[in-house]
Amino acid sequence: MRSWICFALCILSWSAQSQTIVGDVQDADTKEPLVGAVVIWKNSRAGTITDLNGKFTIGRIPLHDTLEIQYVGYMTTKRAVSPNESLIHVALKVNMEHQLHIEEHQESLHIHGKDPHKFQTMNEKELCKAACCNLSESFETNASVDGSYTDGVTGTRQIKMLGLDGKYAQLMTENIPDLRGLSTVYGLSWVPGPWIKEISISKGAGSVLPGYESMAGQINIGHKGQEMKEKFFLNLYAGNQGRYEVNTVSRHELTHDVHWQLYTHAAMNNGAYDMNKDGFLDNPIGNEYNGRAQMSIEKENGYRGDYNAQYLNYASQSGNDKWDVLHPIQINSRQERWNVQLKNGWILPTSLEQSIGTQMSFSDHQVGVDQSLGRKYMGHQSSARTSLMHMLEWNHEMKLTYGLSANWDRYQEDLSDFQKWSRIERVAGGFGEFSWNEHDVFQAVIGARWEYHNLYGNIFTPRAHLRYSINENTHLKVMSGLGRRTANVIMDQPGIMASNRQVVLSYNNSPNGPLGLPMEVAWNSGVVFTQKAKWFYRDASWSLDAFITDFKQQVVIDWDQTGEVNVYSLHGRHGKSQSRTIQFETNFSPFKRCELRMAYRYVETYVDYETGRRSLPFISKNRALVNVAYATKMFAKDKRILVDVTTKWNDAQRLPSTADWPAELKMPDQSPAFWIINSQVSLAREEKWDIYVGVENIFNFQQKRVVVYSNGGTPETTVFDANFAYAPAFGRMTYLGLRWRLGGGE
Amino acid sequence: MYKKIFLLAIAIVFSAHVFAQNKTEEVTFWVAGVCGMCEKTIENALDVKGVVAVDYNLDSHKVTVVYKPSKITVEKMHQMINAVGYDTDKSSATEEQYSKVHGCCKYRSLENH
Repeated sequence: MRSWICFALCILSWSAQSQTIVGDVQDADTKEPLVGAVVIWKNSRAGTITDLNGKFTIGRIPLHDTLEIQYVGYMTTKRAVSPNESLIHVALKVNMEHQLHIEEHQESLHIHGKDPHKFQTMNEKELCKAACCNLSESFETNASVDGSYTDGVTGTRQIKMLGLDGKYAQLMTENIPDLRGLSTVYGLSWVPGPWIKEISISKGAGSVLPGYESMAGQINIGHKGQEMKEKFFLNLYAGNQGRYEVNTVSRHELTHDVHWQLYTHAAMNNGAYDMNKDGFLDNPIGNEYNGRAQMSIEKENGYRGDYNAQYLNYASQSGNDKWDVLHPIQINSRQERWNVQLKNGWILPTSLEQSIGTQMSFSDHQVGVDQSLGRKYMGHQSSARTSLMHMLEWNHEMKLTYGLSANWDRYQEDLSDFQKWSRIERVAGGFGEFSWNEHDVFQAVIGARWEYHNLYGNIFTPRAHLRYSINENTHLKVMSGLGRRTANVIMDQPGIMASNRQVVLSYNNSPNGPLGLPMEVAWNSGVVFTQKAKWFYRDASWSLDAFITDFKQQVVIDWDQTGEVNVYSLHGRHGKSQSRTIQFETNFSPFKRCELRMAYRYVETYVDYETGRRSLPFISKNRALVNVAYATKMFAKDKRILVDVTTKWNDAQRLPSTADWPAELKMPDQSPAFWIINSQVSLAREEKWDIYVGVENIFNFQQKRVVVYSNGGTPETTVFDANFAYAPAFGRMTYLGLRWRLGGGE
Repeated sequence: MYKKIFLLAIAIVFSAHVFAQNKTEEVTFWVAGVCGMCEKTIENALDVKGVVAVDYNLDSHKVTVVYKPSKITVEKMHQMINAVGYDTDKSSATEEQYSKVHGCCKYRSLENH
């Protein structure tokens, strides 16, 4: 149908106007011809470039009447062409502002030397490197974010940043805080990797604009959108752990300024395996269904709207692999969540660059976990958030963003052998961030927010980022900021449901806080040095960074007491808690089509527990990573084979103390240090399809005892705790997958 | 075991040294590319023996090639780029060669999609 209209229009235009336009492009001042200037029909991909004499010939295309002429170092000029015109002259002016046109980078992991907040961005290519069914598994090739190993019962792979649990990182989707509260820990595992365009990681407190909840870092997830090349994307995955997945993304155009995308995900885990022979399933079994719709509107008058809605349903079952024992362990979990985000932006038609933006988001999340030993947990979170922002920019050197925001959260929780509690949090206030960029050499970003919290009173959150660029390739960043959050004792530690330890509260004398617990507050300060270079004639970079997170107030979760999980406020004990990290990372290409990444990370933590100062459990002091990616030369016109190998070394980790436990239940004090090697081979046809086969944990490193369990015959005398996972229980995992892109490129 | 690894490491370093002895030169010339796809095609065309590194800059329409003069000549590079349908500042692609370039890359003129 469309091609018919197109054809009809072509015939019409053929008769009505001259078919081709001839012209030349020259420098406005010197009148010299510009060779190789790009001449393109505005809002199309149809164009040509000027020849050695600065001349060009371009054919008309239907519905387009404006040419855009671009040349590096010159201002891009638009030229309307009337139907009868066949000869045009264009003169380009030199661009004084020296604005650099940054094109889409090819690297899969982009290190931000200049961006004062951002540390690195992982794009689709990087996400494809891991088996990567969901985002909690996508950090296998990343040194800044550690993935922990699932305990087999909750089935989540929690992440860690700067040696701190993932709950201290602020998660965002499309720059709006999301996956908060009860969703914090599971959140990333509900974002299917194939839906994602890129993930931006900021280490440290980050920008203050999205809220006060970032303490260790910010992770922003960008979904594929209208810029997606293909019209339809399909991903199929099957792994020998018994996981099967189908993911799709489709792109639709309603009118030329309204686009929408539809995302679906279905996963089935039916692999009831116990590879380490400890009597418990290595991974939970169950199903997950997830769907998302996204729409964007872009008007000529400077309006842009982005709306999306998502729904998730997850059910899982875990525990003993056999049911012939008396009082077997079985844990059933159900979660349901939906959320809606509405974003509006207007670019104001003033001489000063300014825009106004509004954000609104709503979510509802219900969790229910049932443990056969008698423990039951129900949680329900409803949230609404709105913010209004005004952004002003002067000469690209100074930028001010300020606004108002309000947040409402209602939590209702019930742990059967503990208590039933609920809270409503209402937070409202203002925020501002000022950025001053002096000739792109020095940049300061200073931001703060002041809010009133109905439970914790007035809260002030300042943050500052400084950048100094010694030259175009050498950048030094210094940053410091405050972050805070309300602790959710059970859902921050879903492992509580994977044990029958008693939850014990103490030092909980905050008058208004939920369960009498205070708000967690930490100062985070860091230094980042980035050097970009040319090694072996190709782009290379290395970076060195150091961060300290110092808790002013923390809700300590102490797993070191026999039969108990102790929860108390750090300040109530006048204690200290800190994490210090140093990381070195380098990315370069030693030879053609080969990329190498090497990283080393050192982390040191301590917490003043009730029984003395100790490091956090499950943290490897030293960790190293080497990732090699190699692509063969193109063969059979447009095919290649890509090989990716990641080697990770984890130092010993402290395990929760079992010193006072009966001898037969004791676990070692420390895990051994171990290596994990993952690899993937894929056959790809450029922008059409690729088939991939991978093996994770090639050398089959396996943790034999993950669960402490003694069946006493009754729930009271049974000891059960699955919170000792430091390595994979399943061992070697093989998978196979397909990515298929339809209707790409024209 | 460690001794073997050590010897292997030495061998690698040594061979890298030998390769480095092979003199390389750098050349930059103009190629008529218009989009990201052209960039890929041009860079892939020069992904041959004797070429150590290629980088096509879409803004300046210039390709920079690091190569071993003992293995490849600059003329040959121009020919290889013509062969995938692109003009250079020295030679042009034939109509037949030009017909190979993708729709969005038709830099000489334009064909309706």
